[in-house]
Amino acid sequence: MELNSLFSESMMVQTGITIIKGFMLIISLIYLTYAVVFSRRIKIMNQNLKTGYEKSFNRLSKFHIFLSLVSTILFILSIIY
Amino acid sequence: MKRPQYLNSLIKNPTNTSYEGKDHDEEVLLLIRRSIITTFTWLVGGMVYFVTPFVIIPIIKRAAYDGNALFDNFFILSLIFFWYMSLFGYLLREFLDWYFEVFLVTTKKIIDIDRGATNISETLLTNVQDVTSETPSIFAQIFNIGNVKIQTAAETKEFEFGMVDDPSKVRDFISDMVARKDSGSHGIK
Repeated sequence: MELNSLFSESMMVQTGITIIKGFMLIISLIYLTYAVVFSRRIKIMNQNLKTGYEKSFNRLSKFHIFLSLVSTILFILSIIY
Repeated sequence: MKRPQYLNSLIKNPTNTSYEGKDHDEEVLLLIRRSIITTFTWLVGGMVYFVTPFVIIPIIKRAAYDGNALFDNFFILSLIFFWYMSLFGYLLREFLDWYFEVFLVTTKKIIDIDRGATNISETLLTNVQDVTSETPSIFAQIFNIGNVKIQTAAETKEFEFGMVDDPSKVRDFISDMVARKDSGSHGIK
């Protein structure tokens, strides 16, 4: 009975950890979506006001999307392993 | 140390600057941007953002159940990566919002490009009726920053640009531009 109770408690802890990791994965996916939308917005900004730094801003925006993607992959891996 | 031109709040005859719909015979004479002092709030926010993991991560690392750490190092590393990546995103967004929120005075028009460059209003210089500058608070008076309001006879009655460096100088420039437009010449000396 006691052993069963312990097992169930550790299962609950494991489930809790997985839920937290899953939550972070969802947040990172939402962030990735935001990064893509933001990149579109930067394109509109560049279109409306031409400054000579368009390429730099686009590069930064792509780098931001890349980092978001890496972050999502890291969270997926942290759930798998 | 001289500040790079692209960080200035008030740029006369800006190079490589144009806007969607600019005519061939039109020239951008003045670019006005919020004062760089206004970036202070998000820079402080960024610093708080930067140091937060130094407080939070040790707490997460210490969390344990039955003698074992709750979160493995890989997950903590992922959290740290996500945090600093979002800090980068936050600073990038704030910088671009500051950078692209401008007020352009051309040889023909006044163009107000609002936050995120998604809301754009423009009026002909000939429609400008009144230009006002104000330094509303003690903070603004200390740093000589303030608002410039332009009353027009167009559909958009008022153009307001907040927290620019040296607002009275901006007001004077715009008034001069309107006067020169009326007299048929243009350009800032």
